[in-house]
Amino acid sequence: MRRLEDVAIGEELPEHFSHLDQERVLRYAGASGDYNRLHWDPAFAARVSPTGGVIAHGMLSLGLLSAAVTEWAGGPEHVRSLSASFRAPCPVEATLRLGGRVLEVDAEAATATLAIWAVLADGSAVIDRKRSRAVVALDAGGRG
Amino acid sequence: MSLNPARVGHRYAPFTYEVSREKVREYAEVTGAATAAHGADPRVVPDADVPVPPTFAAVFTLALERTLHADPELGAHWNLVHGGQSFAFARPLRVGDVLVCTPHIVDITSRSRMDILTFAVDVTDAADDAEVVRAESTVIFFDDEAA
Repeated sequence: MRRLEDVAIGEELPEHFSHLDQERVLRYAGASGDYNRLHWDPAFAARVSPTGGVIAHGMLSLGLLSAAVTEWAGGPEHVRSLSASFRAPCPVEATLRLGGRVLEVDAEAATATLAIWAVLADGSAVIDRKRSRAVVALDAGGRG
Repeated sequence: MSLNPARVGHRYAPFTYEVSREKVREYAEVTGAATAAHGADPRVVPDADVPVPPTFAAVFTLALERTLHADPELGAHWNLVHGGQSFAFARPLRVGDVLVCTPHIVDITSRSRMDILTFAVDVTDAADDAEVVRAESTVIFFDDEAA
């Protein structure tokens, strides 16, 4: 668990990179139970996908991002809430850059609010940093 | 085909979901959340010490096939994308939890060639009815039902 006095506004999560190849996307389909053909069937995706090709689950991107937040928080029990706006799909075989930044620290509640994001190699957003947030509980020590 | 706006406010029958250790391990491995505890011998590391990733909640709250797509009055189809997602936790998920999930439709907004549907799932602990997590999902259904 992060200590309240150690967290400053502007602090960033260690940057993570994840390559979303077809195998990982298939494994996510099995793990999550989301077997939408958009994620593995190129012929189906060619007809209905916003990109014209197979795309990763939005929740795979958020799951990876949540893992980075959880690691920073010191465990799932310290993650109070997550919200994400999926700005654009992540094509299968793309590499995501995942990040977060402390926007606000509430000393009374002992929480930090982070902007969180996932972007493609060209910098375009998959998870929109302006509308995606994580709230993490902090250790207030003697003050809590 | 458009969604039926009269379904706003509809609550679906609750269903239960049991958080199992192996499903959590599978999920943690693919989302980069696996720790030594996930692969450990259960006789050495008890269930209570296996971290359940917060987004594991998607496994049971985004169960569209048993909710939206099973509703003949809604008109859901598979030409859709996920627009947004939130989870607010009253407590962390735990291996062994038996959870009661109650989905309901919060909003349907129709635009040209698409419907934006928001639905929420209230999740409680079957053992004591205490709140565990509330999930809210926004799903965009495109009218061209190529699916």
